[in-house]
Amino acid sequence: MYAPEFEYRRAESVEHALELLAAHEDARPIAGAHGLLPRLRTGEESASVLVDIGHLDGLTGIDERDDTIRIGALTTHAEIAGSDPVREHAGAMADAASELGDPQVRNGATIGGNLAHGDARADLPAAFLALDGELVVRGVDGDRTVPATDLFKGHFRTVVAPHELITEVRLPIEDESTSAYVKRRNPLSGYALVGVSACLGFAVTDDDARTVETARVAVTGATTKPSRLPGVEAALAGMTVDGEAGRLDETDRLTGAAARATEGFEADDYRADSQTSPEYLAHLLPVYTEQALHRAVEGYRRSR
Amino acid sequence: MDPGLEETNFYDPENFTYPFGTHVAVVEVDPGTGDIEIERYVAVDDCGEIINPLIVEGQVHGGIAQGIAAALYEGAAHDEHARLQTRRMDEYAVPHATMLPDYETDTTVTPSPHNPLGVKGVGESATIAAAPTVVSAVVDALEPFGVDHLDMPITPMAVWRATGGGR
Repeated sequence: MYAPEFEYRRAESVEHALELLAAHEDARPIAGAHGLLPRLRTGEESASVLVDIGHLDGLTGIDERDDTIRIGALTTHAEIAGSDPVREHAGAMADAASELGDPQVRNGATIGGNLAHGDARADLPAAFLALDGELVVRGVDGDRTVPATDLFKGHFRTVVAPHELITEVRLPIEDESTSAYVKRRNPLSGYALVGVSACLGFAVTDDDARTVETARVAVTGATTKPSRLPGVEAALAGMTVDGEAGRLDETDRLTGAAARATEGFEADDYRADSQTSPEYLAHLLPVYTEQALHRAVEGYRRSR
Repeated sequence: MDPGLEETNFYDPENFTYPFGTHVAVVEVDPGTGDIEIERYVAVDDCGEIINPLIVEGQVHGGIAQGIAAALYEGAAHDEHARLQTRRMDEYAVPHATMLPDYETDTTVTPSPHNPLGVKGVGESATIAAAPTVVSAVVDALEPFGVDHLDMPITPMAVWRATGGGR
């Protein structure tokens, strides 16, 4: 299918883009164009004016300062997946960025577009939630910040308004922490059927053991909106990573924590398609949560 | 009327040709997730005398891909109002290269006695073989669960249900 006709405007600056977006009802920004254009073609979304921001200066690049990784909104998934600071301090985001689509998509699709679009099957939202990031969102009235936990409202629904632009994605750098993202691809679409991201922060005790101080775990794909998993997080708090001697016990405890992944979800909260039911997704969610926890803990061990 | 030479000839083979072959799949099934992994896929086809081996190999590869797709991925689904639910490429599982195994292929050459070249068809051989090969392998793997039949496509959810999931 072809997209209905739209007007194409090439913004000259962020401010110009915001003016164009404010001036036209039903105007939408595009950058990598991998989220919106396919949906214009299927008629699932409409736009009379597309404001191209993909070429704008100052919105790309990855910067590490003040215990924060700052990722320009136009930074591509490929750049994020290959970034040393992201891999070192926000491994889940690098994992998620590397899992999206195929190389062609990863070289075009941007982090700002991904998060603003709010596709509940996308990979980045789980990592963004688990890493407890925040967005800098610019409107005609200036900048505001949006914490990850406030961003997602449903499938293709976020708190970023059509006339606003994400300019920056911030991820905190935390000491003694680890994060990971695991994905089960939907064979229909390639999107996440289940994607789980875990971020664990440890306290170092006198005997050099590690105790879980912060635990943030989030799901994408399986549910109607990307969500944190509070039951799992509560079960992980205070858990000690005991080293070699405690491995078996640790596996049991991670399994036990992952089993609480479905807490708070009703059947209606799961997505379903022609090859998956809510019950099956509820079955898979703890399985992949456990994988994410193991991957995060193993990653931490390797980095010590 | 312009002068010219014209000749029409018909070749009517005296009988059909019957290509044959054997396909074998080794699959691993994870009852926890329902995942199916094709560990090995071996195909030996006989299409008589081979004129262009590359084309024959290509036909076999493509045919196996289509057969595996029918067995594990592709399925048209309708809702309760008979509306097609699998209209688009993100709703209908056409397998990608990453979803398919390596193929081990070989041929035997049994020339057809019914034509001068000794050739037989190969266009659909692998498609016909691959679907039942993969389905039979999965059903065999699930024999300990008392499974003796599964409808195509055998999705992970179908395996999960067949092995007691959701009950």
